[in-house]
Amino acid sequence: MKIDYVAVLASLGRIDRRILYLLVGLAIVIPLLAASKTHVTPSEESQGFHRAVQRLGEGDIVLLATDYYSGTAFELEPMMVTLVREVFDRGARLVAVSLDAQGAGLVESQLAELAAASGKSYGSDWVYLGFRPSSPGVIVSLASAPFAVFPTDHRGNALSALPLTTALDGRTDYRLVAVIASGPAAQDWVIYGHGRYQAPIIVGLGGGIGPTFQGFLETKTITGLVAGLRGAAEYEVLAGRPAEALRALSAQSMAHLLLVGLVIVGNAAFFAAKWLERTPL
Amino acid sequence: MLRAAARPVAMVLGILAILQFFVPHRAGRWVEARLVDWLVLLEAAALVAGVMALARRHVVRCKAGGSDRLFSSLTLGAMGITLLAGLLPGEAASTTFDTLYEWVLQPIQSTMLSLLAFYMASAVFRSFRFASAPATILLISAVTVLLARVPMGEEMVPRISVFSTWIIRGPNVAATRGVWIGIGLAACATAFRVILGIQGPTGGRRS
Repeated sequence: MKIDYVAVLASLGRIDRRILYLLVGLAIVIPLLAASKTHVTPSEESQGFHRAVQRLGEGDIVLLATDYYSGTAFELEPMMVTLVREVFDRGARLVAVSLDAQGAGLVESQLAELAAASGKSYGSDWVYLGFRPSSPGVIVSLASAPFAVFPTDHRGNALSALPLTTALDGRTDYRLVAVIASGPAAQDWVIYGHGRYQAPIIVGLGGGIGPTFQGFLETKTITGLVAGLRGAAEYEVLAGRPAEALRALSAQSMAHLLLVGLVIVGNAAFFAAKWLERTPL
Repeated sequence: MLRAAARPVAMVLGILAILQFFVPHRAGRWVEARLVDWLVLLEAAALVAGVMALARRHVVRCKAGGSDRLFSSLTLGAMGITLLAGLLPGEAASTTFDTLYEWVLQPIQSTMLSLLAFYMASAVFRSFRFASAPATILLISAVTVLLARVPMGEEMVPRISVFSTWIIRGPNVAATRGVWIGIGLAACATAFRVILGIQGPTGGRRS
Protein backbone atom coordinates (compact mmCIF):
# COMPACT_ATOMS: atom_id res chain seq x y z
CA MET A 1 0.00 0.00 0.00
CA LYS A 2 1.36 3.40 -0.97
CA ILE A 3 1.29 6.03 1.77
CA ASP A 4 0.44 9.57 0.72
CA TYR A 5 2.85 11.48 2.96
CA VAL A 6 1.52 14.86 1.88
CA ALA A 7 -2.01 13.86 2.91
CA VAL A 8 -0.71 12.60 6.25
CA LEU A 9 1.13 15.88 6.78
CA ALA A 10 -1.97 17.87 5.83
CA SER A 11 -4.09 15.86 8.26
CA LEU A 12 -1.82 16.98 11.11
CA GLY A 13 -3.35 20.43 10.73
CA ARG A 14 -6.66 19.03 11.99
CA ILE A 15 -5.14 17.58 15.17
CA ASP A 16 -7.39 17.87 18.23
CA ARG A 17 -6.41 20.79 20.44
CA ARG A 18 -6.61 18.53 23.51
CA ILE A 19 -3.58 16.64 22.19
CA LEU A 20 -1.70 19.95 21.98
CA TYR A 21 -2.73 20.75 25.56
CA LEU A 22 -1.48 17.32 26.66
CA LEU A 23 1.86 17.90 24.94
CA VAL A 24 2.25 21.28 26.65
CA GLY A 25 1.41 19.72 30.01
CA LEU A 26 3.94 16.93 29.53
CA ALA A 27 6.63 19.33 28.27
CA ILE A 28 6.31 21.32 31.47
CA VAL A 29 5.68 18.60 34.06
CA ILE A 30 8.31 16.01 33.02
CA PRO A 31 11.38 18.34 33.31
CA LEU A 32 10.08 19.64 36.65
CA LEU A 33 9.69 16.08 38.00
CA ALA A 34 13.01 14.99 36.52
CA ALA A 35 14.70 18.01 38.18
CA SER A 36 17.14 18.18 35.29
CA LYS A 37 20.11 20.53 35.64
CA THR A 38 20.49 23.52 33.36
CA HIS A 39 23.44 25.75 32.61
CA VAL A 40 23.01 29.45 31.81
CA THR A 41 25.49 32.13 30.86
CA PRO A 42 24.58 35.46 32.49
CA SER A 43 23.88 38.33 30.10
CA GLU A 44 25.27 41.88 30.39
CA GLU A 45 21.88 43.08 31.65
CA SER A 46 21.83 40.59 34.53
CA GLN A 47 25.45 41.39 35.36
CA GLY A 48 24.52 45.07 35.64
CA PHE A 49 21.69 44.14 38.02
CA HIS A 50 24.04 42.04 40.15
CA ARG A 51 26.83 44.65 40.15
CA ALA A 52 24.42 47.29 41.50
CA VAL A 53 23.56 45.02 44.45
CA GLN A 54 27.24 44.17 44.99
CA ARG A 55 28.03 47.86 45.47
CA LEU A 56 25.82 48.01 48.59
CA GLY A 57 27.58 48.36 51.91
CA GLU A 58 26.75 47.81 55.56
CA GLY A 59 23.74 49.89 56.62
CA ASP A 60 22.82 51.13 53.11
CA ILE A 61 19.09 51.41 52.48
CA VAL A 62 17.43 49.77 49.46
CA LEU A 63 13.97 50.77 48.28
CA LEU A 64 12.35 47.59 46.95
CA ALA A 65 9.16 47.81 44.90
CA THR A 66 7.41 44.47 44.52
CA ASP A 67 4.68 45.13 42.03
CA TYR A 68 3.46 41.68 41.04
CA TYR A 69 0.71 39.23 41.93
CA SER A 70 0.50 35.46 42.23
CA GLY A 71 -0.21 34.96 38.51
CA THR A 72 3.22 36.33 37.60
CA ALA A 73 5.02 35.31 40.80
CA PHE A 74 6.44 32.23 39.06
CA GLU A 75 8.92 34.43 37.17
CA LEU A 76 9.32 37.30 39.58
CA GLU A 77 9.40 35.72 43.03
CA PRO A 78 12.73 33.91 42.44
CA MET A 79 14.45 37.22 41.55
CA MET A 80 12.90 38.95 44.55
CA VAL A 81 14.04 36.15 46.88
CA THR A 82 17.62 36.18 45.55
CA LEU A 83 17.75 39.97 45.70
CA VAL A 84 16.51 40.18 49.30
CA ARG A 85 18.93 37.46 50.44
CA GLU A 86 21.83 39.26 48.79
CA VAL A 87 20.80 42.62 50.29
CA PHE A 88 20.58 41.16 53.79
CA ASP A 89 23.86 39.27 53.37
CA ARG A 90 25.62 42.53 52.56
CA GLY A 91 24.27 44.09 55.77
CA ALA A 92 22.08 46.51 53.85
CA ARG A 93 18.58 47.44 55.00
CA LEU A 94 15.31 47.27 53.12
CA VAL A 95 12.25 49.47 52.72
CA ALA A 96 9.70 47.52 50.67
CA VAL A 97 6.53 48.81 49.03
CA SER A 98 3.90 47.29 46.76
CA LEU A 99 1.97 49.11 44.06
CA ASP A 100 -0.08 46.05 43.16
CA ALA A 101 -3.02 45.53 45.49
CA GLN A 102 -3.18 41.82 44.72
CA GLY A 103 0.49 41.28 45.50
CA ALA A 104 0.68 43.08 48.84
CA GLY A 105 -0.24 40.03 50.92
CA LEU A 106 2.00 37.77 48.88
CA VAL A 107 5.14 39.78 49.57
CA GLU A 108 4.87 40.46 53.28
CA SER A 109 4.96 36.84 54.44
CA GLN A 110 7.85 36.10 52.08
CA LEU A 111 9.88 39.08 53.30
CA ALA A 112 9.23 38.04 56.92
CA GLU A 113 10.51 34.52 56.18
CA LEU A 114 13.63 35.80 54.39
CA ALA A 115 14.38 38.32 57.15
CA ALA A 116 13.95 35.68 59.85
CA ALA A 117 16.31 33.33 57.99
CA SER A 118 18.92 36.11 57.83
CA GLY A 119 18.42 37.10 61.47
CA LYS A 120 17.09 40.55 60.57
CA SER A 121 14.63 42.35 62.79
CA TYR A 122 11.58 44.27 61.68
CA GLY A 123 11.72 48.02 62.07
CA SER A 124 15.49 48.39 62.18
CA ASP A 125 16.64 46.14 59.29
CA TRP A 126 13.54 46.06 57.14
CA VAL A 127 10.13 47.67 56.85
CA TYR A 128 7.21 46.80 54.63
CA LEU A 129 5.06 49.80 53.79
CA GLY A 130 2.31 47.84 52.03
CA PHE A 131 0.08 49.01 49.20
CA ARG A 132 -1.26 52.39 48.14
CA PRO A 133 -3.08 53.15 44.88
CA SER A 134 -1.69 55.51 42.23
CA SER A 135 1.80 54.40 41.29
CA PRO A 136 2.97 57.85 40.01
CA GLY A 137 1.68 59.52 43.18
CA VAL A 138 3.34 57.01 45.50
CA ILE A 139 6.66 57.07 43.59
CA VAL A 140 6.82 60.88 43.70
CA SER A 141 5.69 61.04 47.30
CA LEU A 142 8.12 58.40 48.57
CA ALA A 143 10.96 60.51 47.20
CA SER A 144 9.85 63.74 48.84
CA ALA A 145 7.68 63.03 51.87
CA PRO A 146 7.40 59.30 52.68
CA PHE A 147 5.16 59.87 55.70
CA ALA A 148 2.52 61.72 53.69
CA VAL A 149 1.34 58.68 51.77
CA PHE A 150 2.51 56.10 54.32
CA PRO A 151 1.95 57.46 57.83
CA THR A 152 1.97 53.81 58.97
CA ASP A 153 3.48 50.60 57.61
CA HIS A 154 1.59 47.48 56.51
CA ARG A 155 1.33 46.33 60.14
CA GLY A 156 -0.04 49.64 61.40
CA ASN A 157 3.19 50.92 63.05
CA ALA A 158 3.84 54.64 62.71
CA LEU A 159 6.82 55.14 60.37
CA SER A 160 8.05 57.95 62.60
CA ALA A 161 8.41 55.40 65.42
CA LEU A 162 10.47 52.79 63.52
CA PRO A 163 14.28 53.15 63.74
CA LEU A 164 14.79 52.58 60.00
CA THR A 165 12.26 55.13 58.79
CA THR A 166 12.15 57.71 61.54
CA ALA A 167 14.62 60.09 59.84
CA LEU A 168 14.33 58.74 56.31
CA ASP A 169 14.79 61.22 53.46
CA GLY A 170 13.43 59.51 50.39
CA ARG A 171 15.39 61.67 47.97
CA THR A 172 18.89 61.07 49.33
CA ASP A 173 18.91 58.12 51.73
CA TYR A 174 18.34 55.23 49.34
CA ARG A 175 21.48 53.71 47.82
CA LEU A 176 19.52 51.57 45.37
CA VAL A 177 15.98 51.42 43.97
CA ALA A 178 15.07 47.86 42.98
CA VAL A 179 11.82 47.29 41.09
CA ILE A 180 10.41 43.79 40.62
CA ALA A 181 7.27 44.27 38.57
CA SER A 182 4.95 42.52 36.18
CA GLY A 183 2.98 45.43 34.83
CA PRO A 184 2.89 49.14 34.04
CA ALA A 185 4.16 50.11 37.50
CA ALA A 186 7.69 49.31 36.31
CA GLN A 187 7.43 52.01 33.65
CA ASP A 188 6.16 54.47 36.25
CA TRP A 189 9.19 53.77 38.45
CA VAL A 190 11.50 54.58 35.54
CA ILE A 191 9.56 57.63 34.33
CA TYR A 192 8.82 59.24 37.71
CA GLY A 193 11.62 57.74 39.81
CA HIS A 194 14.64 58.43 37.60
CA GLY A 195 16.28 61.67 38.73
CA ARG A 196 13.93 62.05 41.66
CA TYR A 197 15.79 59.40 43.67
CA GLN A 198 19.53 59.98 43.89
CA ALA A 199 20.14 56.25 43.49
CA PRO A 200 20.54 53.83 40.58
CA ILE A 201 17.43 51.92 39.49
CA ILE A 202 17.52 48.21 38.71
CA VAL A 203 14.52 46.41 37.28
CA GLY A 204 13.28 42.80 37.31
CA LEU A 205 10.45 42.10 34.87
CA GLY A 206 8.31 39.37 33.37
CA GLY A 207 9.73 37.86 30.18
CA GLY A 208 6.97 39.44 28.06
CA ILE A 209 7.78 43.08 28.83
CA GLY A 210 11.51 42.69 29.39
CA PRO A 211 12.55 43.69 25.85
CA THR A 212 10.57 46.95 26.07
CA PHE A 213 13.02 48.14 28.77
CA GLN A 214 16.13 47.52 26.69
CA GLY A 215 16.17 51.17 25.57
CA PHE A 216 16.23 52.39 29.19
CA LEU A 217 19.27 50.20 29.76
CA GLU A 218 21.13 51.61 26.78
CA THR A 219 20.49 55.20 27.88
CA LYS A 220 21.62 54.21 31.40
CA THR A 221 18.25 55.27 32.83
CA ILE A 222 18.38 51.90 34.58
CA THR A 223 21.61 50.15 35.49
CA GLY A 224 20.49 46.53 35.45
CA LEU A 225 17.72 44.37 34.07
CA VAL A 226 16.68 40.79 34.71
CA ALA A 227 13.79 39.63 32.55
CA GLY A 228 11.69 36.50 32.89
CA LEU A 229 12.64 33.16 34.29
CA ARG A 230 15.85 33.18 32.26
CA GLY A 231 16.90 36.49 33.85
CA ALA A 232 16.01 35.18 37.30
CA ALA A 233 18.12 32.05 36.69
CA GLU A 234 21.04 34.18 35.46
CA TYR A 235 20.82 36.29 38.60
CA GLU A 236 20.74 33.18 40.79
CA VAL A 237 23.94 31.98 39.08
CA LEU A 238 25.63 35.38 39.54
CA ALA A 239 24.62 35.52 43.20
CA GLY A 240 25.90 31.97 43.68
CA ARG A 241 22.48 30.78 44.84
CA PRO A 242 21.07 28.35 42.27
CA ALA A 243 17.44 27.85 43.27
CA GLU A 244 13.89 27.87 41.95
CA ALA A 245 14.41 29.76 38.68
CA LEU A 246 17.28 27.57 37.52
CA ARG A 247 15.24 24.43 38.28
CA ALA A 248 12.19 25.75 36.44
CA LEU A 249 14.21 26.85 33.41
CA SER A 250 14.43 23.28 32.10
CA ALA A 251 10.61 23.19 31.95
CA GLN A 252 10.58 26.50 30.11
CA SER A 253 13.23 25.16 27.72
CA MET A 254 11.03 22.22 26.81
CA ALA A 255 7.95 24.43 26.44
CA HIS A 256 9.82 26.80 24.09
CA LEU A 257 11.15 23.90 22.02
CA LEU A 258 7.64 22.48 21.80
CA LEU A 259 6.32 25.84 20.56
CA VAL A 260 9.03 25.98 17.89
CA GLY A 261 8.18 22.40 16.91
CA LEU A 262 4.48 23.30 16.68
CA VAL A 263 5.29 26.28 14.43
CA ILE A 264 7.22 24.00 12.06
CA VAL A 265 4.62 21.20 12.04
CA GLY A 266 1.72 23.68 11.78
CA ASN A 267 3.30 25.37 8.76
CA ALA A 268 4.18 22.04 7.11
CA ALA A 269 0.57 20.90 7.53
CA PHE A 270 -0.72 24.23 6.20
CA PHE A 271 1.40 24.14 3.03
CA ALA A 272 0.71 20.41 2.52
CA ALA A 273 -3.04 21.12 2.63
CA LYS A 274 -2.61 23.99 0.13
CA TRP A 275 -0.55 21.78 -2.19
CA LEU A 276 -3.27 19.10 -2.10
CA GLU A 277 -5.93 21.71 -2.93
CA ARG A 278 -3.99 22.87 -6.01
CA THR A 279 -2.97 19.45 -7.25
CA PRO A 280 -5.60 17.73 -9.41
CA LEU A 281 -6.37 14.13 -8.36
CA MET B 1 -22.80 71.77 37.45
CA LEU B 2 -20.03 69.45 38.70
CA ARG B 3 -19.03 68.60 35.14
CA ALA B 4 -18.78 72.30 34.31
CA ALA B 5 -16.61 72.91 37.39
CA ALA B 6 -14.22 70.10 36.40
CA ARG B 7 -12.77 72.08 33.47
CA PRO B 8 -11.51 75.16 35.42
CA VAL B 9 -10.31 72.93 38.29
CA ALA B 10 -8.29 70.82 35.84
CA MET B 11 -6.87 73.99 34.21
CA VAL B 12 -5.72 75.51 37.51
CA LEU B 13 -4.28 72.26 38.87
CA GLY B 14 -2.56 71.50 35.57
CA ILE B 15 -0.87 74.92 35.53
CA LEU B 16 0.16 74.50 39.18
CA ALA B 17 1.59 71.05 38.45
CA ILE B 18 3.76 72.48 35.66
CA LEU B 19 4.79 75.62 37.59
CA GLN B 20 6.04 73.69 40.62
CA PHE B 21 8.74 72.12 38.43
CA PHE B 22 10.21 75.60 37.83
CA VAL B 23 9.91 76.96 41.38
CA PRO B 24 12.88 75.82 43.48
CA HIS B 25 11.21 77.33 46.56
CA ARG B 26 9.72 75.21 49.32
CA ALA B 27 6.33 76.54 48.21
CA GLY B 28 6.82 74.54 45.00
CA ARG B 29 7.48 71.36 46.96
CA TRP B 30 4.46 72.08 49.15
CA VAL B 31 2.26 72.34 46.04
CA GLU B 32 3.75 69.12 44.66
CA ALA B 33 3.12 67.27 47.94
CA ARG B 34 -0.52 68.42 48.10
CA LEU B 35 -1.15 67.49 44.46
CA VAL B 36 0.36 64.05 45.01
CA ASP B 37 -1.76 63.54 48.15
CA TRP B 38 -4.86 64.32 46.12
CA LEU B 39 -3.74 62.05 43.29
CA VAL B 40 -3.46 59.10 45.67
CA LEU B 41 -6.80 59.97 47.30
CA LEU B 42 -8.53 60.24 43.93
CA GLU B 43 -7.19 56.87 42.77
CA ALA B 44 -8.34 55.28 46.03
CA ALA B 45 -11.79 56.78 45.47
CA ALA B 46 -11.71 55.50 41.88
CA LEU B 47 -11.07 51.99 43.20
CA VAL B 48 -14.16 52.21 45.41
CA ALA B 49 -16.18 53.56 42.48
CA GLY B 50 -14.90 50.68 40.36
CA VAL B 51 -15.97 48.08 42.92
CA MET B 52 -19.42 49.69 43.16
CA ALA B 53 -19.80 49.76 39.37
CA LEU B 54 -18.78 46.09 39.15
CA ALA B 55 -21.26 45.11 41.88
CA ARG B 56 -24.06 47.08 40.23
CA ARG B 57 -23.40 45.49 36.86
CA HIS B 58 -23.60 41.99 38.30
CA VAL B 59 -26.73 42.77 40.32
CA VAL B 60 -28.38 43.91 37.07
CA ARG B 61 -27.29 40.69 35.34
CA CYS B 62 -28.61 38.58 38.22
CA LYS B 63 -31.97 40.33 38.01
CA ALA B 64 -32.11 39.93 34.23
CA GLY B 65 -31.59 36.16 34.47
CA GLY B 66 -30.08 34.22 31.59
CA SER B 67 -27.03 32.02 31.33
CA ASP B 68 -24.67 34.51 33.02
CA ARG B 69 -26.76 34.64 36.18
CA LEU B 70 -24.74 31.88 37.88
CA PHE B 71 -21.38 33.57 37.22
CA SER B 72 -22.68 36.96 38.36
CA SER B 73 -24.04 35.39 41.56
CA LEU B 74 -20.67 33.76 42.19
CA THR B 75 -18.89 37.08 41.67
CA LEU B 76 -21.22 38.90 44.05
CA GLY B 77 -20.95 36.08 46.61
CA ALA B 78 -17.14 36.14 46.46
CA MET B 79 -17.11 39.93 46.82
CA GLY B 80 -19.47 39.74 49.82
CA ILE B 81 -17.49 36.99 51.58
CA THR B 82 -14.17 38.84 51.06
CA LEU B 83 -15.71 42.08 52.33
CA LEU B 84 -17.09 40.32 55.43
CA ALA B 85 -13.72 38.65 56.06
CA GLY B 86 -12.07 42.06 55.99
CA LEU B 87 -14.63 43.53 58.40
CA LEU B 88 -14.23 40.83 61.06
CA PRO B 89 -12.89 42.24 64.34
CA GLY B 90 -9.25 41.93 65.45
CA GLU B 91 -7.03 39.00 64.49
CA ALA B 92 -9.93 37.09 62.94
CA ALA B 93 -10.02 39.56 60.04
CA SER B 94 -6.39 39.10 59.00
CA THR B 95 -6.51 35.31 59.53
CA THR B 96 -9.68 34.80 57.47
CA PHE B 97 -8.59 37.29 54.83
CA ASP B 98 -5.14 35.69 54.54
CA THR B 99 -6.72 32.23 54.22
CA LEU B 100 -8.96 33.42 51.40
CA TYR B 101 -6.03 35.16 49.74
CA GLU B 102 -3.65 32.22 50.03
CA TRP B 103 -6.01 29.35 49.28
CA VAL B 104 -8.51 30.89 46.86
CA LEU B 105 -7.21 34.02 45.12
CA GLN B 106 -3.60 32.94 44.60
CA PRO B 107 -4.42 29.52 43.05
CA ILE B 108 -7.08 31.11 40.82
CA GLN B 109 -4.70 33.79 39.55
CA SER B 110 -1.89 31.29 38.98
CA THR B 111 -4.24 28.96 37.11
CA MET B 112 -5.60 31.74 34.92
CA LEU B 113 -2.13 32.80 33.80
CA SER B 114 -0.93 29.20 33.37
CA LEU B 115 -3.78 28.57 30.94
CA LEU B 116 -2.13 31.07 28.59
CA ALA B 117 0.61 28.52 27.82
CA PHE B 118 -1.99 26.04 26.54
CA TYR B 119 -3.89 28.59 24.46
CA MET B 120 -0.63 29.98 23.12
CA ALA B 121 0.44 26.51 21.93
CA SER B 122 -2.89 26.03 20.15
CA ALA B 123 -2.75 29.51 18.59
CA VAL B 124 0.86 29.06 17.45
CA PHE B 125 0.00 25.74 15.79
CA ARG B 126 -3.08 27.03 13.96
CA SER B 127 -2.28 30.65 13.14
CA PHE B 128 1.47 31.38 13.03
CA ARG B 129 2.09 30.99 9.28
CA PHE B 130 4.66 31.99 6.66
CA ALA B 131 1.71 33.63 4.94
CA SER B 132 3.26 36.98 3.93
CA ALA B 133 6.59 38.83 4.14
CA PRO B 134 5.77 40.70 7.40
CA ALA B 135 4.37 37.49 8.95
CA THR B 136 7.53 35.63 7.95
CA ILE B 137 9.79 38.29 9.50
CA LEU B 138 7.69 38.16 12.69
CA LEU B 139 7.79 34.38 12.76
CA ILE B 140 11.56 34.13 12.25
CA SER B 141 12.15 36.76 14.94
CA ALA B 142 9.82 35.01 17.38
CA VAL B 143 11.37 31.59 16.81
CA THR B 144 14.89 33.02 17.16
CA VAL B 145 14.10 34.76 20.45
CA LEU B 146 12.17 31.72 21.73
CA LEU B 147 15.16 29.46 21.09
CA ALA B 148 17.78 31.90 22.34
CA ARG B 149 15.98 32.55 25.63
CA VAL B 150 16.38 28.95 26.80
CA PRO B 151 19.60 26.96 27.35
CA MET B 152 18.45 23.98 25.25
CA GLY B 153 17.83 26.26 22.28
CA GLU B 154 21.30 27.78 22.60
CA GLU B 155 22.81 24.30 22.66
CA MET B 156 20.83 23.16 19.62
CA VAL B 157 21.58 26.25 17.51
CA PRO B 158 25.02 27.63 18.43
CA ARG B 159 25.41 31.43 18.28
CA ILE B 160 21.66 31.95 17.94
CA SER B 161 21.90 34.28 20.94
CA VAL B 162 24.00 36.69 18.83
CA PHE B 163 21.13 37.08 16.36
CA SER B 164 18.57 37.21 19.19
CA THR B 165 20.52 39.93 21.00
CA TRP B 166 20.69 41.92 17.76
CA ILE B 167 16.89 41.62 17.37
CA ILE B 168 16.29 42.78 20.95
CA ARG B 169 18.87 45.60 20.94
CA GLY B 170 18.30 46.75 17.36
CA PRO B 171 14.85 46.57 15.79
CA ASN B 172 13.13 46.03 19.14
CA VAL B 173 14.68 49.12 20.77
CA ALA B 174 14.02 51.21 17.66
CA ALA B 175 10.35 50.21 17.65
CA THR B 176 9.96 50.60 21.41
CA ARG B 177 11.56 54.07 21.37
CA GLY B 178 9.15 55.10 18.64
CA VAL B 179 6.23 53.89 20.72
CA TRP B 180 7.53 55.67 23.85
CA ILE B 181 8.08 58.94 21.99
CA GLY B 182 4.58 58.65 20.51
CA ILE B 183 3.06 58.01 23.93
CA GLY B 184 4.97 60.96 25.39
CA LEU B 185 3.89 63.36 22.67
CA ALA B 186 0.28 62.19 22.88
CA ALA B 187 0.27 62.58 26.67
CA CYS B 188 1.70 66.13 26.37
CA ALA B 189 -0.85 67.03 23.70
CA THR B 190 -3.75 65.73 25.81
CA ALA B 191 -2.44 67.51 28.91
CA PHE B 192 -2.17 70.83 27.02
CA ARG B 193 -5.69 70.41 25.64
CA VAL B 194 -7.01 69.99 29.19
CA ILE B 195 -4.89 72.84 30.62
CA LEU B 196 -5.90 75.23 27.83
CA GLY B 197 -9.56 74.29 28.22
CA ILE B 198 -9.90 72.83 24.71
CA GLN B 199 -10.87 69.47 26.16
CA GLY B 200 -12.56 68.67 29.46
CA PRO B 201 -10.86 66.31 31.93
CA THR B 202 -13.76 63.88 31.52
CA GLY B 203 -13.30 63.77 27.72
CA GLY B 204 -15.10 65.37 24.80
CA ARG B 205 -14.61 68.68 23.00
CA ARG B 206 -16.00 71.98 24.18
CA SER B 207 -19.27 72.58 22.36
